[in-house]
Amino acid sequence: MTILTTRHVEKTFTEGRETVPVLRGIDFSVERGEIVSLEGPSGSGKTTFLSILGCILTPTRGEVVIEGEAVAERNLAEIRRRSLGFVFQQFNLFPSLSAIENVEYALNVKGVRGREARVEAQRVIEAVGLGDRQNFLPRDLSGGQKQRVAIARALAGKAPILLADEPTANLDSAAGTQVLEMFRTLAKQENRALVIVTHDPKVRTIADRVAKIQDGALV
Amino acid sequence: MNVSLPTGAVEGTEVYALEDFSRWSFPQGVTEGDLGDLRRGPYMVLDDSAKKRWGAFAVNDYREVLGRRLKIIGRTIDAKSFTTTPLTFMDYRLAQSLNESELRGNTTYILIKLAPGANADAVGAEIRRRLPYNDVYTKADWAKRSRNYWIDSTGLGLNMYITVFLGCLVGIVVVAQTLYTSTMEHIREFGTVKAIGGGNRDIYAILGKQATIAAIAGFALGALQAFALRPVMSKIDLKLIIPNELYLAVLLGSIALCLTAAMISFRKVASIDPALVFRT
Repeated sequence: MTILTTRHVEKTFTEGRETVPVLRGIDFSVERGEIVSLEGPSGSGKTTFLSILGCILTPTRGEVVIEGEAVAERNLAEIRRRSLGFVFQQFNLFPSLSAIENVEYALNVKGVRGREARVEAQRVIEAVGLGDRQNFLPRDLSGGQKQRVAIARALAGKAPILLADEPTANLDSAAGTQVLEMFRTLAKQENRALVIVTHDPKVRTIADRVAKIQDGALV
Repeated sequence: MNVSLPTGAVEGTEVYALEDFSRWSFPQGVTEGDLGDLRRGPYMVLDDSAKKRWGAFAVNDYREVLGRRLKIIGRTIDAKSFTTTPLTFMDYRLAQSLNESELRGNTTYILIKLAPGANADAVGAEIRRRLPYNDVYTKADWAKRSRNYWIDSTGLGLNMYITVFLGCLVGIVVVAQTLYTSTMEHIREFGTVKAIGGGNRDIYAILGKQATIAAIAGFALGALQAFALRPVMSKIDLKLIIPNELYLAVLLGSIALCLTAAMISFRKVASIDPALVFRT
């Protein structure tokens, strides 16, 4: 079942008087439970495309449909809250919150509060193998552990689509492999779609499909 | 009234003169002498604070008030004027006789003591009805009138308003600057909040909480300083009285000021592009 679709998505940025095309009519779709590795050289438009998939940017032309709902300026935050989980290259954890609080706060933002949020945060933090470090601050965790907290945060709240931007870029090889394996297991277990933007060839080992983007178009 | 001191200097004093002090239980804090004796002759009771301006004095000393030698027959403590001018207590008729041209035959104020349980407002209304060309005030009205006089009719009020205004202005600028710097330092985190589905309201809530914490911390520090200043102020014969209502008003005012100061940060976070979370 298709959960995310883009139809002829174009994106242009204006720099001074110049209009720079970044994405040139991308048609793309992801099934529920599917893992897609989105690859391409630097400057190819991967991150811009991921931002559009993540409802952070809107396309200049074309359409994005998530869970059957067309994305528009008015419902960007709502769709992000309801349908999407993010994992960032820089982890982007809140430094003053413990691991479990990071997850719990993301749930609060999604409207889940109180005991329900605590229970769900506990569930995902244990699912990523950090039950014994749930009260650690990010500064007391290794890179791999931080990324696992970020994955837990993305998983929390049952968002059906997970988007990851270079999730292994700041990890050593062993930690990267471990994180990817865990990511795959959890995404498959919970039937979540996972789109990973990456340069890392290891991602191919967990992906169901590889999409390549070059000069703003899928190739 | 003017008092000639043994040194030859002339100082001022505020004179409180009643027919019978003991009926008014005023002044309180008599440490030497008997107020009832004031009616017996050219006597006066001085507050201890007078020694700062007049030099040391003792009961049975004499001081010259408006050219007439009066014997000091008692001493009070804590009977102090807001202006720090020493207070002197003497018999009503004696005070009139000291300045006959101005005071003899003139009655400016009449103090009325009500029987227990009497309704002050009702009595006031009745006096107004019977003496329509006189002003009638309750104790609270008179106190308010006195405060208003100092605030509205002297430079003190303007000074105070300017001080409060500058305090608020500097406070807002400092808090605004601090919150803005903090916001800029955490801009990526705010971007993350937006990226994971949070709206401006979620971030406003964070900033609002920070501003409120800053206000409460600032209030606590200020209140502690005020407490610490009390003994220092009393050394210069000023009593620092801060009613609970003022504490509450200052606390609420501080929170309002800090939230106002957070507006610049609110504007900044409203324009945060969540796409910044993808930038390395």
